[in-house]
Amino acid sequence: MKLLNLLRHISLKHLHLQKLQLVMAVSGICLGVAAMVAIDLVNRSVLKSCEDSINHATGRAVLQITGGEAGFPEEMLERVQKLPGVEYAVPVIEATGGLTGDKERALMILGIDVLQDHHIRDYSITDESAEIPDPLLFLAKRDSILLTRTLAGQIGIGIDQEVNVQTVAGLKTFKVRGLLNPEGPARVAGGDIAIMDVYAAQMAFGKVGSLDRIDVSFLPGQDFDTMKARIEAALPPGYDVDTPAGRTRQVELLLGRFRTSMRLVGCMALFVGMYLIYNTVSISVVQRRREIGILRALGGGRMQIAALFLAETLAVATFASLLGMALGLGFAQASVGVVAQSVTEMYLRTSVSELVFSWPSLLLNAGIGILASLIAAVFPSLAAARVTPVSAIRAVPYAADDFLRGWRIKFAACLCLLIALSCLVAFEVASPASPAKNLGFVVVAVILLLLSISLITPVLFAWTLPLTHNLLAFCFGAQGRLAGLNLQKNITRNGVAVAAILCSIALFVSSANTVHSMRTSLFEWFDSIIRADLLVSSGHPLATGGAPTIPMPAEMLGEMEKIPGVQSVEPFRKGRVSYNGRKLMLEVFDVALRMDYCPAMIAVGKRENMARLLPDQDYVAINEGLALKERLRPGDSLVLPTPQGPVRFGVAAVIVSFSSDAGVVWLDINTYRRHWRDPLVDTYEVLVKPGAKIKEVRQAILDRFGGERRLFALEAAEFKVEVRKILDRSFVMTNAVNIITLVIAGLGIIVTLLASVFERTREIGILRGIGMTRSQVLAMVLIESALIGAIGGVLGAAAGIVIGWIEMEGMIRVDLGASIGYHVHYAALLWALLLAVGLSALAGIYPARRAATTNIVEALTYE
Amino acid sequence: MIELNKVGRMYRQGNREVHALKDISLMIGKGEFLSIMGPSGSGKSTLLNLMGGLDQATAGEVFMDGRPLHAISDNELTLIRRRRIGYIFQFFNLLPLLTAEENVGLPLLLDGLPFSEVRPKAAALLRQVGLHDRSEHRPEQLSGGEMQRVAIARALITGPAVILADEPTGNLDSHTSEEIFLLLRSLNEEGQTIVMVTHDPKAAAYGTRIITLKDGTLAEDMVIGETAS
Amino acid sequence: MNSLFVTDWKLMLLAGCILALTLFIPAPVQAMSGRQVYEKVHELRTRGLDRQTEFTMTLFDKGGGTRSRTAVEYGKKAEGETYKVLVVFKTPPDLCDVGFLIHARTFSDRDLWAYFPEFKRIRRIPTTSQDDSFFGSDFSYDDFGGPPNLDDYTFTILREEVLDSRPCYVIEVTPKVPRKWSRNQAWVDKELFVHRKIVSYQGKEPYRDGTFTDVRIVDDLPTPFRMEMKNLKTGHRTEVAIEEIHYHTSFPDDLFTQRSLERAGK
Repeated sequence: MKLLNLLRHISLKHLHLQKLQLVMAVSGICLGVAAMVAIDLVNRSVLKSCEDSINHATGRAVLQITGGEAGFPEEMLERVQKLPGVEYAVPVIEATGGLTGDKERALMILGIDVLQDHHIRDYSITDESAEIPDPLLFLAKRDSILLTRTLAGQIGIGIDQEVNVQTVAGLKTFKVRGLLNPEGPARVAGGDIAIMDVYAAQMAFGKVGSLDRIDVSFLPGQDFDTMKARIEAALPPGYDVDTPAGRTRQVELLLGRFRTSMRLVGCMALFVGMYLIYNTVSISVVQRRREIGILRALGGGRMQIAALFLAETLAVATFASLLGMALGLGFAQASVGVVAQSVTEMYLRTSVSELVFSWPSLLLNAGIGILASLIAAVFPSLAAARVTPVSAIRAVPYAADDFLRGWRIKFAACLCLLIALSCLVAFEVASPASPAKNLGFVVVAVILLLLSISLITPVLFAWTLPLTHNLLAFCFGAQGRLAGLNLQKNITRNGVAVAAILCSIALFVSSANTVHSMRTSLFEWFDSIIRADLLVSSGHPLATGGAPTIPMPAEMLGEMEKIPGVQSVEPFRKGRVSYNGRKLMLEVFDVALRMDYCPAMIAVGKRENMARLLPDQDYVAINEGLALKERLRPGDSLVLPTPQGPVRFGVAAVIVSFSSDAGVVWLDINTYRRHWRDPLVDTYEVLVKPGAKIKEVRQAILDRFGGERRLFALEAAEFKVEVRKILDRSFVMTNAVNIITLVIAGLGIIVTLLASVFERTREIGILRGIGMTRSQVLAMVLIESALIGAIGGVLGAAAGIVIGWIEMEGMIRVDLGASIGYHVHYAALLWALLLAVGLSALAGIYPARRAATTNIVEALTYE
Repeated sequence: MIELNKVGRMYRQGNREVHALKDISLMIGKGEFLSIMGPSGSGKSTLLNLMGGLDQATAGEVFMDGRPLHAISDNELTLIRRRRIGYIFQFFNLLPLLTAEENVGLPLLLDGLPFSEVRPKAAALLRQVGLHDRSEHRPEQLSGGEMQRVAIARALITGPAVILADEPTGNLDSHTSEEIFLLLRSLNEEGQTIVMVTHDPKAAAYGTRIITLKDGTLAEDMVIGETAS
Repeated sequence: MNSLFVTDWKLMLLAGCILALTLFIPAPVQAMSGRQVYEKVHELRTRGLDRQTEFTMTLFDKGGGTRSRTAVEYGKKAEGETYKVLVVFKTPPDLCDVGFLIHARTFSDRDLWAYFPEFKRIRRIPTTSQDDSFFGSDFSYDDFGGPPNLDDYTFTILREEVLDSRPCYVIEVTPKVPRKWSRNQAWVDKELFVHRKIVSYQGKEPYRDGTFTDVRIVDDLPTPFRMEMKNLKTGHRTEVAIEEIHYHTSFPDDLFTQRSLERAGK
């Protein structure tokens, strides 16, 4: 009741009359919430789309059988079909293609047994859900393909027309025999899907006699575990029998890095937003000190004052958060396409057809925005409650002046720092399994660290400021010296401004650095593994979405080495293997050869130990992510399923590899062939003799094999450029949010400086009174603003570098391994500094002009 | 009504201790109109602030209606300020955003009364100070005298035991000052206890008792009129 | 009715009256029951299982597009209800030598295989729903099988009616177990005991309309040479025209094996 009274009679008028500050605060919260909402929506939508793709493609299947990257013999199908308890077992071939023509477009191609598949998936080619004029023809011809109505409409292709598809098996021409309604599997990948009969798919993709997957459903009343065991027993070792839900979990693992980085920048946007609120409320408290004093003198209670400010924050934050929800939807809409493309390129085929819109999640984000605003407002609100009633009568320069530089604050700052450090230490020493290895610790540490820096800023500011005096006087003369003195006279109030800028810049710099570090590490790693001059593969090396390539026979190696100009050829084979519910990426190559020329990055263990991978020993190297998550070290061992049963492999070393977020295992090709009995090769990496022309060698290779098979020979340089593009695209969203963060930071700077100059009307009046010219006043205020910006910017950049390291440690290295170096993004640093100074000066212009035109008499009689 | 017992107020300026008030003992009875005089820096305002609970003594005891202001919690002090004391400041201290009526009603709003109840009381008081036609004006639209009359109306709205006025005419011309003093005096004649700080002997003469401070100590205490009853 | 005691014109008049009555009276007394009519139809169809047919099938879509194919069908009746059928497509070239093989164990239980030469692969075709479209035509799997099992249905003669100047029984055929269609209304030639027309209903809505025309007697067996099936919902229709048909053939059993299917019956 009391509160509502006060809100209505006091706060509303402030909101009404101080529009500028209100707009800033609202924009800040709004942008912060919008960033979070957008991230959340995009995250959900992409994940949902990936899950949908899997679920629609999965249908009623209870179990899915997979067996290695290159597929498994189709005889297994009959084995499974005959097992008691099995209702249906249907074959699946999965492939990826690109539509060629005016517009390149990625396409998922699903090969299914169209005669049987309706038992598992919701559609039938003879039903109304599809328009297939001649199913017999569809079944009879191997070039038959079905497109979704959506896709066909978009590319303008109708029934009986031909469509060219670039597949891993080369360029194929298919004939559209029918269109599918967007139901069941036709909804997969947002409709960018084509369906073929499984046997036609086998022929088209060079997989005659083999299958990628079998989807199984049970007869009613079967026990899941019994059935799973029965199926596993019926198959040779090395097959993976898993639930489709298991595959969804795989997607989450797969998208781990993507989601982590998104979460990170989301947190940053929130932090900066909180700081803006803290700042706005603080300033409001300073400005309304006298009002608070009067209220206190008239009998306003402390808690009433604090509650008033909190309630104002609540009102503004609620309004801004709702606005932010709407804006976030817009952001999400605008960015989801790019993100989906990036996910497609890096992880798996997906295309987000619609945003996953859920009120609970929207409201949750808005709620977080409001709550964060309130938390941010608590400290300044309590400061407001501390304003003494005497402030109403006496012109105390700044009520909390002594307090903010007093021992209490120093103590509090030290305490925060101490807790932050202990959180960090606890996090660092904790083993991966302990509850202390929690993201919460890092977040708390970062918040406390920021708090500690904010608290100590007036002191820091007081130390730094004198250093600038001579420089200022030298550069700007009297007004420069005066500006410096002015700042010093009001250290506390300006300290708050500096703290605001400091925190904004710190957060921007930290998240820019973190993202930059990830990017740089990825590039460094990538450069370290691609040492060859030419990459020869049968499918396009950039075939996306983890598409299975068309392997080549091992004999090609010898023939390729005979080609003039070729120095050495290294085979590379890629596969997947199950381990503790993870789908590990198996990377197979000739270790002896690679050790010669490739500076693989070893994280733990000695480089000499890599020799253990050599042919006759059962050793592997694993990547850091896997080592961390499964707590494996060199000298430990792990059991991997092979087609000939489980084999125990020793861990020779932990290497740096970001090929898969689920985990990477390196294996010598000879060891691999011994256990997997797989003589095929996915890519040959060719090193060209010094002096030989890469282009000529490339042509020679194409000429030599071009007649037999379709080959791609990509120059490594070209390949790297393409991959860099893909990697860069994956950071688009992160960068966008970083920019939002910077905008919020900029708003914070403007708010602070506006307030700081408004406060000084009287002071400026005095200066004018004693004979300062208008232009001198203008210059003085601008110099002050820029100086505040510069000091805040420099301190902030320094703090940002530290905080970035903490984020790196707490959020990135935990998942991806310690070898991700910390790289300072100098360009971002420069930007931040420029922005701090520039925005501050800009923010100073309006108040400076106001100051310059101050009516001397009014300014002096006021108060 | 108000009792001060060996009250002292000390401020710390750097390493220096400044005694604004020393060893003041004073009794103010109901219905008195006490003028506090003294040169600048003699501790007049400090004394008033201690009586009003805006500031707290560093030595001695301050009682209001028998309650020790020096020893009660901030919350209780706040309630006493709100309900028992009406304050009039030299610079009026009206909230610039609020209308005259809202400013007058503010103490009651702070007390949680709905504006609909506060409003008629505020209007009545504005009428009493002769500003009934100014109720919707904001302070910036009022003259100095009008602002001070609004402030007096505000001080009266809770029906306080005592009105404390700190140089109420310090910012006003002599004609307007006169009006304000007459207003205060008529309030006193109706039984309102008033304590007023001033450095102007003419103004002090409106009171029924004058005390004079010098360097933080009580220099003179003289009763010049009859206490209203 | 006793024709011995009435003159010809009276007979004519009476016949006219009865005809008129049959049009208006829902359930007149009939000489044959619905079931008896269908037993006759069934017997003729069973006798016609030993045969060789050459036919053209044309699919007409709503937009006016047509797709034609020609095929040869060989049939052989075996003991009891069992029979075997082999169908081999001749044209268009895309479908040349595509074949179907049916081994029916009973009239309602059969195995179906298809052979696609481009894949060199025989595929078993699951007969989950006998009412599903038979490879894009408006005929169902059931239409292509042998005669149905009469015990699965109830038959009610609704009336008699002249259709295309042929007198017919109009019989309501209702499946005992619900099917894709809830009931059929069939016009059975009173004299030849072949279908002239079948309309299938889903609830009250007719959804499929089949007509059987150009009925000729071949080797004692009445045979419609033109069959048309129209889907009333999609506007799609299918025509089958028999080019040549011989009954009472006796093919060797090895014509109806999977090896024979792979060799297109050669």
